[in-house]
Amino acid sequence: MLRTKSKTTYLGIGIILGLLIIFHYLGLLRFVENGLRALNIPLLSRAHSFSVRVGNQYTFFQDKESFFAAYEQCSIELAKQNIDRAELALVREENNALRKQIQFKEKEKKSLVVAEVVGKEISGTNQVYIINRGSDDKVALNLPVIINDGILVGKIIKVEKNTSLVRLINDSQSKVAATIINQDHSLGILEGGYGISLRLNLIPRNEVVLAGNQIVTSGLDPTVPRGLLIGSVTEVENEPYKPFQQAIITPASDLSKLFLLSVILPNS
Amino acid sequence: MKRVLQLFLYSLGVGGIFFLHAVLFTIAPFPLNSINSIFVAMIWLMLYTNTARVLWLVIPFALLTEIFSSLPFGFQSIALFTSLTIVNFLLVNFFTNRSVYIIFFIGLSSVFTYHVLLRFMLFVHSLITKTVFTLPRQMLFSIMSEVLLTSLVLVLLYLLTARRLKRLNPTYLSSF
Repeated sequence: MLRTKSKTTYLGIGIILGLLIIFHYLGLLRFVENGLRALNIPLLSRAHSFSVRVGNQYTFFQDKESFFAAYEQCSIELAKQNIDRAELALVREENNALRKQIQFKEKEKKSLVVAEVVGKEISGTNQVYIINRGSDDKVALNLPVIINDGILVGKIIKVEKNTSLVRLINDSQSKVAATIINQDHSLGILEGGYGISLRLNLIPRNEVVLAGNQIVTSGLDPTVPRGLLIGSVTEVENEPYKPFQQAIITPASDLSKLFLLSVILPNS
Repeated sequence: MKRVLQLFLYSLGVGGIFFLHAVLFTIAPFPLNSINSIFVAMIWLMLYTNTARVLWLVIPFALLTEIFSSLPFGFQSIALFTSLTIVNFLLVNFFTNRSVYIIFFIGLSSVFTYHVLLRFMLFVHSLITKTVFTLPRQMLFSIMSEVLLTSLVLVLLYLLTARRLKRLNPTYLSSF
């Protein structure tokens, strides 16, 4: 039997949560949400940059041999490097990324908004990044997000005042129209595989796709311009009983260590 | 003054747990990033206080998780609140014996219920918005690892703090 006190608590919390949800959709909570975001973003940003700096080296130690090999490698490298040089390398990397993005902007005559990754989405199962640019910076839904000189990494899926969420191309919900740079200029749909793989589906079976062929955006997606590099073909699966062939794609960049991105704004 | 201090401490606690949750998820390698610190903290507090009052903390946690989520607003709040309410109801009315098995089962059922509810709402949402709902094998694996690891961490935390939780148990009385 439910105790009256507990019952009141359950009811009270339920009502408050219900009101919060209604207020959110009415836009009455915007001030509170923005305030909470502003409070949390500096902390999340630091945590993210720390994780990028540390890298994901520990995930490679699947056996003892690889661990010792990596350890030896680290010892040699450690002797050569010091903290100043590491910091310098980080700044240089950031500088290079910015330069490439400026070059891309000038070459393609596109308007870009440079954004910093401040964290990952916390719900866990999606490959979604939080960036520090939002509707105030003209970021809008479905705009493509690139790094360096035009490598597509994802699309905007949610926009707030000062932040946005970017769904990476390797997320299981991601779909991008792409084309292969081969003789037939084969078209297909690029789909993510829960952060692990990228697949280009719906490629006609009679077209020749080879490992090493590059994949770029096809321009069929209204918000994504043609020609943004996605990656290259690693493996082709052409089964006789299937109507289409598919290719496994290796992304052109490491999608787990992104720190500086650019959102391509529409030309108008 | 006391109330203000209490509110400040609560905010600090909620902020700390949320930050730990975010940091674990961002920095820690798999499978450590599967530990749901919010569930661990909430269930542990329920065990410690033995009241439904702890559930009030769902509100700040829900709000914090919603603002950094790509899912439609409200889904996570509803799933979190419902799953923790079920757990609280079970703890208060059925599983009053605080054995390790019970704690493990409570951990399992809470995170599992949370994910089932969340996926169900996403499925209904996909039907309404006519979008594709997918549940790949890797996602199921990730959910299962979250369910298991969160329950294990909860059991560990419970074992570490059992003396204080069971302070009225005669076997522990000598320590006080």
